[in-house]
Amino acid sequence: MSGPVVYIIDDDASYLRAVSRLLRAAGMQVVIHTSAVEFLADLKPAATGCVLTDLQMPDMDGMALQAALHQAGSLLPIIFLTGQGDIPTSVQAMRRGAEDFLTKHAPKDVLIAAVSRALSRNEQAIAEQERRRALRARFELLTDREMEVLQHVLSGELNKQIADKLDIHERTVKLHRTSITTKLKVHSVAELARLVQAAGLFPHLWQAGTSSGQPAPPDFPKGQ
Amino acid sequence: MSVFCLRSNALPRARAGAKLRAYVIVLTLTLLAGLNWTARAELPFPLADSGYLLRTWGTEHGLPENSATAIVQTRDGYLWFGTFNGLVRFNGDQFTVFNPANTPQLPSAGIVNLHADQRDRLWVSTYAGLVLKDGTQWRTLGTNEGWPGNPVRSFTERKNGDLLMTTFDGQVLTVEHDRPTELPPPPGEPGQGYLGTVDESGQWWLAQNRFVGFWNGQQWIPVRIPSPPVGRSAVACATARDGGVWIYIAKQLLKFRGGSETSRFSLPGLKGGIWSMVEDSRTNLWICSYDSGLFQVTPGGELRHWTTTTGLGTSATRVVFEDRERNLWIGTSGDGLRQLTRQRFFKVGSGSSGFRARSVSPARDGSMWIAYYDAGLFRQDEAGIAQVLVPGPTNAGTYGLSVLEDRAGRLWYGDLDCCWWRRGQDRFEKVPLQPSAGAHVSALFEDSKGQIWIGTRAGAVVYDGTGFQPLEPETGLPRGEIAGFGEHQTGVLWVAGSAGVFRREQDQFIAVRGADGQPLLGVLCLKADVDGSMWMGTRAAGLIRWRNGKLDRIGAEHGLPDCEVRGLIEDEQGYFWMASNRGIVRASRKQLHAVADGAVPKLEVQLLDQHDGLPGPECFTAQPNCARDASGKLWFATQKGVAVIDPVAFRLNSPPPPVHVEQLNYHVRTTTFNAKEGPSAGVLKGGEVRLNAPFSLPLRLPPGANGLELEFAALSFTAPEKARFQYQFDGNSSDWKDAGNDRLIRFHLLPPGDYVFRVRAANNDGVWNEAGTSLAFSVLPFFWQTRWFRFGTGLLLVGLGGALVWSWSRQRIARAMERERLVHETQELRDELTHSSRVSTMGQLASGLAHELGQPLGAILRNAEAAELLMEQAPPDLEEIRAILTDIRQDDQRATGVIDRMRSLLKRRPVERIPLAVPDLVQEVAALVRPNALQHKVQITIEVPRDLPTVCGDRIQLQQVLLNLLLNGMDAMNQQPSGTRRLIVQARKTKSQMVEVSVQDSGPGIPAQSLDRVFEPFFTTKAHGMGMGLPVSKAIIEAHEGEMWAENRPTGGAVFWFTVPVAKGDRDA
Repeated sequence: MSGPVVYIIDDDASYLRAVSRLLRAAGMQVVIHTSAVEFLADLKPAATGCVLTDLQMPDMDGMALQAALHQAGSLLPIIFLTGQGDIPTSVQAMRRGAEDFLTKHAPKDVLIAAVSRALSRNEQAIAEQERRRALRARFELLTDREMEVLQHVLSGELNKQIADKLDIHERTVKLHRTSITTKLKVHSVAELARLVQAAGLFPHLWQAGTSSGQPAPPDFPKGQ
Repeated sequence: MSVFCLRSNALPRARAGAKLRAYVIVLTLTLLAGLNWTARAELPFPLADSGYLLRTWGTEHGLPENSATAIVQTRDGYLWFGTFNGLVRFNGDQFTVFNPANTPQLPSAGIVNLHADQRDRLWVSTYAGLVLKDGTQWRTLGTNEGWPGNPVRSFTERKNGDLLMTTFDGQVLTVEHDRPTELPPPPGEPGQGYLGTVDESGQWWLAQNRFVGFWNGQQWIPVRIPSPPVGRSAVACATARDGGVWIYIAKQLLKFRGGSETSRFSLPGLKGGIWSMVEDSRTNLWICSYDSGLFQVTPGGELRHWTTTTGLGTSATRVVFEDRERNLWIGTSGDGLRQLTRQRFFKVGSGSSGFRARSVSPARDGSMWIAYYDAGLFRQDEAGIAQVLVPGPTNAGTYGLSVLEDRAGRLWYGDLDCCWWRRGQDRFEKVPLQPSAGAHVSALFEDSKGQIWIGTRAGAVVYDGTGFQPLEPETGLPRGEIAGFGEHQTGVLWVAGSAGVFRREQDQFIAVRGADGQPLLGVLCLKADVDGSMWMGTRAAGLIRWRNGKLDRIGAEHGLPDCEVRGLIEDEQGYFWMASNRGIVRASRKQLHAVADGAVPKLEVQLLDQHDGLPGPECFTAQPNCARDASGKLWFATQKGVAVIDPVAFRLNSPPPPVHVEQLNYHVRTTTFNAKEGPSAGVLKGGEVRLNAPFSLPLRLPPGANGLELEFAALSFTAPEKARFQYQFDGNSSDWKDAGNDRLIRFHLLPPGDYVFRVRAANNDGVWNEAGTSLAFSVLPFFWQTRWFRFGTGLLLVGLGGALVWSWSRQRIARAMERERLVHETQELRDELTHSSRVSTMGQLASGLAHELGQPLGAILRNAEAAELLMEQAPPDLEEIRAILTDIRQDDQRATGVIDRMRSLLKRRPVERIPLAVPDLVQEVAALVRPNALQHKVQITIEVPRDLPTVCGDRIQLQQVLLNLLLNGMDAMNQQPSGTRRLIVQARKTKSQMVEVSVQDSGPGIPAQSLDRVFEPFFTTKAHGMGMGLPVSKAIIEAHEGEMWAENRPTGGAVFWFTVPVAKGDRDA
């Protein structure tokens, strides 16, 4: 099977069959599972598409599945289906990054739109991941010491501060910085910061003070 | 075995003047003479090859003496026996004795003969005089009232009611206007008694060893006897059913019609002195010999001789009588009473062929294959039964489990280790089975295409005529034990096993699911119906009908005697025969459908068991465990041998049993009781009053009467143990309450008022006497205060005291009336409260049920949307659309099922007491709360053994209690970590004939200070609780005569217990 797949998980075989029929009729590729455990067992790391899962299931419920996927680093967006709108659960699910939260009786168009959105989101996420992987490959050229120096540079520290912390000579710090900019083919610290951010490295550095998912670049001191 | 039961019968009137004396006499008589025994004879056993089952009754069952000199049945249905120690009335359960001690009109306890005349009077010939019993009146006919002075030997009545009596010393009398008149003596041997009889024209006949002849109106006309006896000869005579009379004399049986001999049998084998001869309704002639046993001349002219050694157990016979249900009663001298009942089932095989039959299969040549677990493979044909040796590495033939001869003539035989087969007379070969341990071939089935399906403990194998194909899990059939196969009318193969029921469509097995979507577990056998239904016999849920995807159940509540159905077969007359745990159940196919459709509430069924000749009540689960041969006879493999029945010859025991209220007992406070209240009243110690039928009406019970007991009887004698009773008490409702086979009902509290007690009964075949009988009586209100008033007038405080007492008594009367009114209202209120509490409990289920309903509704929506999209495509995928429509229908049925389940509990409905299977009760409630449990992440464990006895109760009320406890338990665990929430439902039988059910949670337990308050109304620890659930539950359980209590477990959590009594039919002896 190639192309994105909608993985549908529901312990109710009849609903499972019905919703899979609908999405197939809407031209999507569908794989069904009657339990989250079964789905996780079958899941290939390279799977693309999205997950459409019942929230309430015996053994492993939808929330547990979300946690498991998250832990496994899966990029599959999750759409939850629930028999009745349960607000506390939906809030929790959305906060943990659920793509959508629909009732089982949601109109066809809403369901199909949600699934399409999830599929394109997955596509984007994969592209994003691909891009980051390419960027990260560049960072692999750096030595451990250079990576260490890079972190300090991105924290906005001056060369002498860095030399002091790492107990090395200031000139050595300068050598490391030159080596970093040469290897990463960047020309300024700003450019370097953008590159690191795009590669998704050192996420802790831009966590503080951000409320949107998009981290803001660090406030670099002007000049060296 | 016998239960000693003390009571009085036909007690003398206690006149007011002789009150004290009457009490003493009554007490003495009761202790000395009026003994009434509960008769529980051992089960009948078949008299080899005779077609009859024999049952023996003796003094150990309540006969006053081990003889029966005469037997009659009065119009009210009672059987009467004469013994040498009194006259006995029998109701199938108890013998009531009449003797001079309790009936002074009887001149002697030695009864010689009895006659019930057309005016429903009983003639009693005793050693010392003749007595005529007319209703409740006993009249002694002494010598001055025409009794000849010598005991009457025979009574003969002709159609116009004239009676002919003969005495032992040769007198002959006719009775006109109840006064005997002597006829001229016939020219026989003087001093020798005659035997009388009458022919169809009303002509009197007499027989003696020197005279056989008839009365022509003026004189006795002798008939010619072919070879008259030399010296004394045994003589007997009887009316022939097809006209004329039978005369037995000098070892010849002669038939005379219109004065001339028409046929003659020589019976050289018949010997000994003859007491009586009678022809039964099947035209068997029965000749009772004093000392040489009983002779039966069959309609075919065959002579059968029954003696001590041929199974009858006695040779001193005296009289044979056929009752209205065509049972034969044999009176003996000194050997008790024998009852002969027609056998319905016949056992096949002998001891050498084994007992534990598992499977039967008809062979093409008319013989029958039988697999015995304890003896192997046998073949039964006209010549008898013979073993067929199955070769094998060991004596593999020993543990036979199933056998089948297919239409191609191949023989299939499964045992514990392997499955054998052979073509014609070839050698047996092994069937290749899955190599799992222990084949245990439990099912063999041939489908319409001639394929053989073999079911084992581990799975199934199919033989398609060329080779064997194991059914691997890839076919959709999970591994596991196979119980049986079936083939739907459309040719679709069905299989039932430990994983559920599956239907084979395009080589794939698809699970057949219940309305709740769960697999159908516990199905033991399958039977296709010509109308496209599939019938399923189950382990505990009765019978299930599948029709177009919809399942309907028939269980105990519909009158199915046993909810375990192990085999199903249909006869050619449209009846289903079900092998169960308690016997073979017969029900009409039409009616089964009507009950499954809900059009008829109750089944009319027959439960056939040992009383019908079935060797053992249980059939094993095996396919085929029952079979129909080419002649239409049905064969059943039971754990005590193979039984065969001819359904064409099956006749219902159709006379509805007469029902009588026999006795009414109650307690009074002795100070307030006045013996004038009832003419046949007797007061025993402790203020106990016993009144016997016939009751003098109107029947008024004194104020304060309580502890009312009513004893009743259904006069069916074929299998009295299987009689069933229903009663109503207030006369207001049309609901009949089941009393099972209890012949006694107690009412403890009896407020003043008028009552009508109605009772009706069914016989062993479930034929109801719908009208039954009724007894109206009233309990008088307290008026003893007026006597206080009388005393008061004698005192000085007439004015004030009298007024006080008067006003007080008015209050009491008003209160008594108020109480009477309140009883009804309270009952209504209690029902209302029970119902509303149930409704409120159901409210808690609402979110779970919404989810349950949401699933199928959501699926329907999605399917419909998918169909819309498919319709837009060109060309539309019709196959898929058809599948969608099938699914939509199934989901709709699923939703309907949820609503039905809900509605059955919400319905307001009269309370009924029926035997209920506890595992079913628990499972159904568990299914209801399953969605809630899922929501609250509660794990429910059910530990209820399948073999629990049934309990007696109201299904809905008991489910209400369970529901309440389960929901309470879930609520209690709300604050616990989600992985630790466990509910355990357990049930066990206690020593005191109760089933104890417990619901245990893993919550924090009940706070110690609340533990004894949880059953108080309006006591609640819940924010939204009404506090009525537990009190109502406790009230329900107490109304079921059970108990309910709560405790905290030492390891944490609370346990609620309740007990319910075991249903009467399931109690230990």
